[in-house]
Amino acid sequence: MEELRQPIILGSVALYMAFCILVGLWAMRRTKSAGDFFVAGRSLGPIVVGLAVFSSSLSGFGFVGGPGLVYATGISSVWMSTVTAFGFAVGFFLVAKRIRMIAEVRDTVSLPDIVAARYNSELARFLTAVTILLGVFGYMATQILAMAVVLKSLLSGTVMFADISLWACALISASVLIFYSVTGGIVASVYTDLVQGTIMIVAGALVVITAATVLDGGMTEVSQIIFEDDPEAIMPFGTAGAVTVLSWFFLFGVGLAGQPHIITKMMMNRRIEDNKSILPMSLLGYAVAVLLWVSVGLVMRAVVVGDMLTPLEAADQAAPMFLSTYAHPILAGIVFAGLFAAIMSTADAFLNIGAAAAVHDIPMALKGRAPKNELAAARWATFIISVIATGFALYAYYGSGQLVAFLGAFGWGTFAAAIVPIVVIGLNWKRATKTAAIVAVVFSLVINVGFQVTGASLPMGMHPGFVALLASMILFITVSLLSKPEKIASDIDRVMDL
Amino acid sequence: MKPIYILLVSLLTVLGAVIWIAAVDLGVAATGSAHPDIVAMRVGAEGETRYFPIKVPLMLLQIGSVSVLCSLIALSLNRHLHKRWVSASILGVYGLSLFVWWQINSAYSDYFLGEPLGYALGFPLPTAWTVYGVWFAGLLFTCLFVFAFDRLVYTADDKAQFEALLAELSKRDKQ
Repeated sequence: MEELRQPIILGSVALYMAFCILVGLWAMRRTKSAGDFFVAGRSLGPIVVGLAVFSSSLSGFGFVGGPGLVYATGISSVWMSTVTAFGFAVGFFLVAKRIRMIAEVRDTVSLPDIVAARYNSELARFLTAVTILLGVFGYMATQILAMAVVLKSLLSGTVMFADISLWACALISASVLIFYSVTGGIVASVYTDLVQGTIMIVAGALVVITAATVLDGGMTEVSQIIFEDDPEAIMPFGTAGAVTVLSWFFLFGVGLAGQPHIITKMMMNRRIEDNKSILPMSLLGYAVAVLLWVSVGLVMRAVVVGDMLTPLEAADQAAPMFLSTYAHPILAGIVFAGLFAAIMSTADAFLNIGAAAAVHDIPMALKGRAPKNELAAARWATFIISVIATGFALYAYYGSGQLVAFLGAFGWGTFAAAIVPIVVIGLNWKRATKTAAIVAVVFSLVINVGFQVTGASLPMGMHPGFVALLASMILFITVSLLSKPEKIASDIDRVMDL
Repeated sequence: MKPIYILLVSLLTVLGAVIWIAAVDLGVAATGSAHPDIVAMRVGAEGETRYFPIKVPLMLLQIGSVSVLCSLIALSLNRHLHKRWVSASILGVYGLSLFVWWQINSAYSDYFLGEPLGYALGFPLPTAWTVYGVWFAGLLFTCLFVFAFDRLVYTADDKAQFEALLAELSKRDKQ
C-alpha cells in the first residue's frame, strides 16, 4: 500500500477538482439572475448553509498554518479555536436573523446592501464595499499561493511532473476555482462547500484518532514530553505568552461575526427558523476540524522534542510530515483533498463577495444603480478578480511579498474592526448613527494600514487587529451617543423590533 | 443598566487593562524566544517572570473580554431581558466563564508556587481548563440559541409580524 501513497493522494486531489468542475456546470443551470449568483436566491437548506458557514471560516490555515503554529508555539493558538464557541454564538444571536430579514425585505444581495439599508447611507455602503474588495485581493492571493505551493509539493514527487513550476501549479488550481466560481456563482460555491465541509470533518476525525494513537500514552504522554522540554509550551498560554493569546481570544471571539464571507452566508437560508440547526452544525464541523489542527501540531512537537523524528525545516511542514509518517495512504489522500477543499471553500466565498462589491455595491454607491446585465458583469468580475489575485500571488512568490502582505493587512483584523461595530452592534441598537458607522470604517482602515506601513508592533505581542477592533467599537458607540439620533427607514425599524 | 452601556463599560475595562499591561516592563521576552536546539520552534522559558508582574491587569483583560461577549448576547436579547430566566441564563454563562478563568489562573499560579501538577483529559490541569472549560462555557450560548430559539430569537409573534411586514411591502410594490 505504501508504494501507492503518491498515486492515491494525487488521485484524491484530481477527483476532488473534477467534482468541483462538475458542480460548476450543474450550478450554471440554476444561476439565472444576480440574486442567484450572489445569494442563491435565499433558497438553501440548513445542512448546506451550516457546512458552508463552517467551511468558509476555516481556510488552508486550519490544515497547514494551524498545525504549524502549534508545532512552533505550543498550545498558544488553541485560544483562537476555543473561543469560536462564543464567536459563532455572537454571530448567530446578533446577525443571523436580522441580516436574513433585511435581505428579504430589501431584496439585498450583499453585506454593503445591508449597511446601506440600515444607515440609509451610500457612503457607508461604498466604504464597506471598498474594505471588502481590498481584503478579497489579499485573502485570494494568499489562498491561491497556498494551493499552488501544495500542488507543487505533490506533483514534484512524481517522475512526470518533477520539474513543474509554481506558476503552472497556480494556473491549474486557480483555473478550477475560477471555472466553478464563474459558472455557478454562490450556488456552486455552497454546494462544493457541502462536500468540502464533509471532507474536512471526516479528515479531521480520522486524523485526530491517528494522532491520539501515535504514542502509547495518548495525549497525556504527548503533553508530558512537551512539558519536559519547555513547560510553557504546554501550559495555558503557550510560548506566545498570555497577552498575545488573550488578544487572539478577543479578536477571534468578537471578530468572527464581522467576517463578510461568513455572515453573507446567513442571508442565504430558505427559512429564518433554520438558524437553530445551522448554528450547531457549523460549530460541530468547526470543532472537529480544529481538533486536527491542535492534535497534529502537538504530536509533531512531541515527537521532535522527544528525539523520535528529525526536526522540521519549517513549521508549516508539520501536517504534511505527520501525514507521510503516521497516516495511512488513504487517509493522507482524504486529508490532502480536504486541504484543497479548505482553501477553495474560503477562496470561493471571497470571490463571491468581491464580485458583489465590484459590480453591485460600488456602482450602486456611485451611480445609484447596478449594471444592466448584472449576472454577466458578476461573472466577468469574478474572473478578473481571480486573475489579478493570481498575479499578486505569483508576484509575491517570484518578486516581492510586500504587496500581498500589504493587502493581507485588510484581512481578519480589518474586517472585524470595520464590520463588527456597524453590523453586529448596528443591527441591534437603533441609536447607532450613520456618522458613527462612517467613522468606524474609516478608522479601522487607517489604523490597520498604519500598522502595516509603519511596521509598528504593540507591547507583549498584542495583535494590532485586536487594538483596532477594540478602539473601533468604543469609537462607534461613543460617536453614536454624541451625535444626533437619526430616523431609521420604517421597514428596517420594524425588523429591528423583532 | 442597558446592555449597550454595559458593553461600553466592558470595552473600556479591556482598554484600561491594555494600557496597564503596556506600562509594565517585564524585563524578559514576553512572547518567548527561539528554541535553543530546534529550528522553527519557540520556547516560553521564564513563565513565572512573564506571568506574575501582569497577573492583575491580565485578570482585568480576561474579565473585560468575557463581559464584552456576554453583553453583546444581552444586546441581542434586549427585549427579553425583563424575563428572569433570560437574564439568569446570560449571567449563568458569564459566571461560569469567570469561574473557568479563575481556575486557569489559580491552577497556573499554584504550579509556579510548587504545587504538584495534575493532568486531566490529556493536558496539564490549567491547560485542560483552557481547552475544555472555555469551549464549554461558549457552548452554553449555542444551547440557549438552539433550545430557546422559538421563545427568544424568533417567536411565533415575530414570525407573524414579519410576514405582515412582507405582505404590506408586497402590496405597496404592486400599487
